[in-house]
Amino acid sequence: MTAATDRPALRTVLYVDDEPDIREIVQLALGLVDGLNVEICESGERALQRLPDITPDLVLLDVMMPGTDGPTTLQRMRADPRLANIPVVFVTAKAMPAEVARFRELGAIAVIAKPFDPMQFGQQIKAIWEGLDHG
Amino acid sequence: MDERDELQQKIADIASRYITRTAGELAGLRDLIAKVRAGNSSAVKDIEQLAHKIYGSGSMFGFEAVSDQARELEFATKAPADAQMLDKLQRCADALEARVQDALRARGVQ
Repeated sequence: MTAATDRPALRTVLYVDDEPDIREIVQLALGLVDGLNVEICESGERALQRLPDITPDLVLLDVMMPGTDGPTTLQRMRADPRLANIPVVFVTAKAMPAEVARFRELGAIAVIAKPFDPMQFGQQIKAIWEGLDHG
Repeated sequence: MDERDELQQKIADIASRYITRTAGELAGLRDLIAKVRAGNSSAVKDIEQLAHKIYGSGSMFGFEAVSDQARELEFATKAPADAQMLDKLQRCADALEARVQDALRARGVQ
């Protein structure tokens, strides 16, 4: 059996963004990935409420949201034993090198800059998932 | 039409909806600047969030000039709140409105 087949399949992704147009784009873009269940939340607070039920393989977080922003959502996930190990990717227009370094220090496994190409977004997410150490 | 063509078409539809809605949000931006002028410094954060949202989404939908101008507005909110900053906010808001109107005209929306 190869390492690739040992890797668990990416089944459920939660995307969190306050911007409805971007949520719709992401839902459409990830809809191109066969077998992927895409859950959507409009705020960090709502995501924190729903996460224990959704138990996604991966969380994609916008950074700048009213109320509970992306970094705060990640910090609260890390403080909750039920959510602490779920990998988080930031999807943000705040993608200058210093900002990316800060997000990685907070525990994000990757940062995807906006604007992203919706046609490639699903493949980007799959590549990030496949690059994770699932051991 | 395959699913990728369908996605492209849907993105174009969402882009049209986005720029029309953004034009509507500019009235709110003017209200926020008026609040800052009246001494409500917390409105600066609201301007920053609105500008950031327009910046991030504008570039997603190919409205580069709108996005660039919104980014300049976002930067302007980070300056110390004084008369110079207010003038800069106003200039950026005026320029943003002009860029949005350009984008609407380019799409045949008045």
